[in-house]
Amino acid sequence: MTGIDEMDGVRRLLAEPPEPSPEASAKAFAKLADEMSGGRSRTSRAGRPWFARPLGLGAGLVAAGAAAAVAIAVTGPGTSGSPGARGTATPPEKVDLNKQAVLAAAAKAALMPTGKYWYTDQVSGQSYIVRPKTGAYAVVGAHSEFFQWSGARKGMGEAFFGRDIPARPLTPKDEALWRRAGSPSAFRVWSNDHYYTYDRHVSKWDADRPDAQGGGRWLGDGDAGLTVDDLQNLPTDPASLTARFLKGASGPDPRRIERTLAQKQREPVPADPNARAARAAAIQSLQNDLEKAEQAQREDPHGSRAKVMDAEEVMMELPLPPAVRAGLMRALAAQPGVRAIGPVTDPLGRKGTALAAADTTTEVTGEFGAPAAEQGSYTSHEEIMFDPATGELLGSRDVLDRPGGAYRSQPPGFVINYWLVRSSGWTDAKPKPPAKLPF
Amino acid sequence: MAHDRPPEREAPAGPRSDAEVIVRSRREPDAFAEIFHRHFAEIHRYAARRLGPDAADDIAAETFLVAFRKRGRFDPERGTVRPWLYGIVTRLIGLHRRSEGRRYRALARTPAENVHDGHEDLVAARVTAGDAGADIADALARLPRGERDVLLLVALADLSYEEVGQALGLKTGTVASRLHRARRRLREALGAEFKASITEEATA
Repeated sequence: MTGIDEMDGVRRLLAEPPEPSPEASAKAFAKLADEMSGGRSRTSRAGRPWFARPLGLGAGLVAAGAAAAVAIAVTGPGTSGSPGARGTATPPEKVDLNKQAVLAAAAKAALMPTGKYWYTDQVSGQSYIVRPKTGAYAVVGAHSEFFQWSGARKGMGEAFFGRDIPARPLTPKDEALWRRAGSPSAFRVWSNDHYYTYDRHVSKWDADRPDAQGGGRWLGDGDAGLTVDDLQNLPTDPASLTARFLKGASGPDPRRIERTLAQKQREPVPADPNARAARAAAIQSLQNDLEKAEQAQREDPHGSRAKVMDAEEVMMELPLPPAVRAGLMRALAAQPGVRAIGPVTDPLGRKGTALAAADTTTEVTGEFGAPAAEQGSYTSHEEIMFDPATGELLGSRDVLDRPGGAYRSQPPGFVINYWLVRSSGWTDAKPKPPAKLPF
Repeated sequence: MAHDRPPEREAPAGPRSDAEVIVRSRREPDAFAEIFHRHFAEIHRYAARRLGPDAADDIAAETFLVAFRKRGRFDPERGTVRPWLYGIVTRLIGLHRRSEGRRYRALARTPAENVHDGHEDLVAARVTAGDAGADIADALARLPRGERDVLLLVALADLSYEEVGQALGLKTGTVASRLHRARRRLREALGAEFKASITEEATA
């Protein structure tokens, strides 16, 4: 779940504006000077020499910072809807025991109860590689737990909590290497476009936007959200649920990029060297985007990664009625490009059964400062995991297929990141975030 | 390029750190001018990216007035000056939510429409962003304010989660969760107007 292109999109859309005009800077400074002097001498201060000093020594640094867009380009899935995607002529099915397991879990999902309050307790983490001389090992950083609850109806209240939980070595093997390195309590690691230090601290639960009058809406505030009635009225058959929830087209459409690129290339080349360089950079960047989008389409023509992520979103954030949840699991299992991968054990040690999306390539370049050890390309897939006994969602993770880049010395199966549902469901008592740590 | 928070950012010119300058300005108000010179262009740029250059003139000026008035409350033990200034400018931008929304909605319109309205800067932004720019702009307009603040401080101001927490008075975990939700919403918008379709159909 390291979608990163959207951040780049925001940076590009809200592009670097021109520097403040000297007049605007002067006026702003005059206001401040007036305030600093207690409002006594607007005019006399306005002519002080520091005024004329070039503003923004920081400007170059800041530009570098803004340009420090994230280096990872997740090669997301391409567009949806290739012909024949609609299960018309499914080949005579071999009995797929893994798929049977998911479908059996779906039958269990149809039996979940309801109550007055719905809550969800989720844990997310991202793996990073620490490289001491004693041997590289993986730690889970950016490790957080979220707890949110909402009353079934508006006015019953809602609250959202978050806390930081300790960074930890990922596997027993990583733990051994961590001990060999002297069991450090802080880990300085490369994170997208900068170094960051994760440590072993636990923060208190922090209540974010509790609202005693809220409740009764999911996936959106106010009128935008879904009510319990909306959710009860959702269809339960896989075809309708596919059309509604598994849109799957999260990658940019190569044809759209091609059009923009052609438009840019048709523009006359500006005479001003800066404008010319900006145009060349824009074209280069569009060409890179196009290449990535085309690769994504080759690797995952049905957009299975995005469909799995669509299902994760809906199943994690919405109190779906059991029959809808069951229908959605069946729908996802039937998507082209989605495969059942049999018994799994999630990072909390729970046994599960899982569906996986197609393997896609992520490439990290040095463009935004990634050190050599972090550069390169690797292949991974998104997985969604279910409890075979109850059909409940255990969570999701991004799993390494072809080692490379930062993960060149990790085995296939290495967990790049996870987003787990520690616990979730309806209760009659007002839910409270747990004191006990998940790990 | 070194991307690990360059230390010179907090103490760009000369021996005094930002924090020292602020502490000194409590006795010598004029010393605060140094804070202005070090950070005005950056804060202006951030406001301009969210509200456009004209509104940014006022907001950035106001940011330093507020900072000056509140300098007694700046606690050097608890954070650095950039996040503190970004916190102030973010709150001021919050008072202009409607014009920020209008700007994103204008960005979501087709370039041709914007040319008619004389918004050449927006046209340029859209062309740079490619066709996906419309979807991103539309999604930004719809983001809950708390999520938008976090997203843009990370994306545009290049603050770490910890610094965003300092700026907005949030725990790092809260920053992470808001960012996660905001990015999910953007990804959905980049796809098949996933969210809109759910709510439209559900409320139909």
